[in-house]
Amino acid sequence: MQSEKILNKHIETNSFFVFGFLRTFILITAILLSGISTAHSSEENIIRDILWTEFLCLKESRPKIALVLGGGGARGFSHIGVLKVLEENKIPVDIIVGTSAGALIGGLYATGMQITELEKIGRDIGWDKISNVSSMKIIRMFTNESLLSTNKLETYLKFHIGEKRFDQTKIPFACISCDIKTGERIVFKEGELAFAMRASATVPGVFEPVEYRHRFLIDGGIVDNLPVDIAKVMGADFILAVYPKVDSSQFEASSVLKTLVQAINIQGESLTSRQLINADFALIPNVGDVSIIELHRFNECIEAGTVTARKSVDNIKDKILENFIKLIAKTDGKN
Amino acid sequence: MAKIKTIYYWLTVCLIIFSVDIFLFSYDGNEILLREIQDPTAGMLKTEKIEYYTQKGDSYLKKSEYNSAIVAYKEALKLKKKNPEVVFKLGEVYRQAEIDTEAIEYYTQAVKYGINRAEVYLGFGMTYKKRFNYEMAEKQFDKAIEYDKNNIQIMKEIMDLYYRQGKYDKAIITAKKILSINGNDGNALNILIRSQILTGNFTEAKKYAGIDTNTKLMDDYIQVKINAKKPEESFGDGNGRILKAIFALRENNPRYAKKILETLIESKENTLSVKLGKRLYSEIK
Repeated sequence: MQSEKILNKHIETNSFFVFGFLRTFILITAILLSGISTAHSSEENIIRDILWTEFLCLKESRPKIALVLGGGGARGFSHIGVLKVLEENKIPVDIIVGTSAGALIGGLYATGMQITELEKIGRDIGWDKISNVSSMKIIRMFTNESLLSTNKLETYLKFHIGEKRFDQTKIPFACISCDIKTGERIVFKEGELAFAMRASATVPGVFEPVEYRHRFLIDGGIVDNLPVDIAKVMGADFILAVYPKVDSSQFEASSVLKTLVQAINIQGESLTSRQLINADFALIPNVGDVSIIELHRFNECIEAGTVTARKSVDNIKDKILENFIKLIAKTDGKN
Repeated sequence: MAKIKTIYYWLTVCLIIFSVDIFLFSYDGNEILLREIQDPTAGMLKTEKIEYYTQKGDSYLKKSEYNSAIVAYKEALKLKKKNPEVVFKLGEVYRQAEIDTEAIEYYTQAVKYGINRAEVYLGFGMTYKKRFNYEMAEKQFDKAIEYDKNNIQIMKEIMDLYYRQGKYDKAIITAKKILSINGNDGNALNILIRSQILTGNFTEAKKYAGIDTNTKLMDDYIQVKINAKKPEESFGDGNGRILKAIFALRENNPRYAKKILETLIESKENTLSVKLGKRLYSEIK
């Protein structure tokens, strides 16, 4: 028994010698690479900071950066995290376009609302505050044509932003809705903000369509969950898209509502992939397992947006610098 | 050919180091083998066993042999579950092994078991920082500094965090505090000058220029911005060439700019400067 153990140990030792060689080789390579990358990464960071300062000094001639915020219900809270990181890193946002939850967060931010206020809304919000949801209402919803109303959502928004209009926002803003009769994409760029944001977030089959002139409007995510082209039309030179994508593989057919939501998700993904290609940079926060109705998971979503943005912020700046290096070189950005 | 020579050269170096490695290992290899076959803690009291495994873990941790360290510490924990020091050390191992979730779990336990030292909160904070959770990291570093007010390592972490969150004023204050303890701290100088550049405060930044050679690129930039130095005499021959080229273009000297960019692009390194250099070069007519 003892000799067997010794033999096994010798075999182990010999294997260790082979791996030992590999270990040494890998260690040397790693040391070299880390040394090089540390030296370069420190200089890279300095050059990035210097050039970013020059970029910001372009002032009126500075290229316009647009933020396109996709829909996703509760997952849309991740937009707050992204906005926080953009502010942290002095990445200006000159245009905002949003659909559904993206319209809500984007619209509020465009009016000049602070990140802390947005976070407070996230903590505060509940389905009872933005709709007339009740057990009886839900039962009636599935037995006849009665849907929930989003009147309360509009009231809630007006409580925070008043009667503000599109031309009164600090950042130019647009949002998307859909005409349920014709399937047309409706772009709101003027008029009352709260109404437009509400129309953009009216989930079909759950909330009753919003009447607007001769149209009946529902969630813009049905036709365009990530309106990158609208940002271009509004004059964007660089488009940063944020898409709080769902992880469809997590679907379980455990209720009518979940199945409806899944159908909307699948359609949304198909439409979004085409638009994503046209964005200059895309952020996809890790909120795949959050359902659109899980408003109580706002903290998790905000954190996911924050982490995703922080991981990518240097790459975002690098992409912007690369796109506009000629402009930076030609313009003497005196403070 | 050059590549093959380089590979050959490094293989030779590895072989030499490896040979030394074998010699050192085999010196007492057989003794270790025999010892490990028998129970190394046979005959020891429980407290002695715990100390044995803890020390084993410490020595593995020192050598960055994280798996072995974890095994050793967990052996110690089997003998005494509520062992705050060992729990804290497990937190340290997992943090250094970059297994963040486990690190956070063990640090949390260590605090629960009553370890209230700067080191715990420092480790905690570093783990959160690596996960980009700067808010939680700041809370932990603030607790750490309460226990050790003049700890430069903690101050540096706080300074770095402020910088990453765009709290440049706070980063500057913390950097100055560090410099009041150690006037040549490269890290602090780096963040101080960068923060002042990002807030457009070149006059203040100038006061700290020239203290550390590692800040030469920034020093040159400040001097050029306040017209105290010519761009063609600045930025060196490394990645700073992109800045030289930019300033050359601003002075309507595209020929000189192209010449600089050509040398930069030749290096073929995958750096930001080279990428920007390639793009700028392609756009200069």
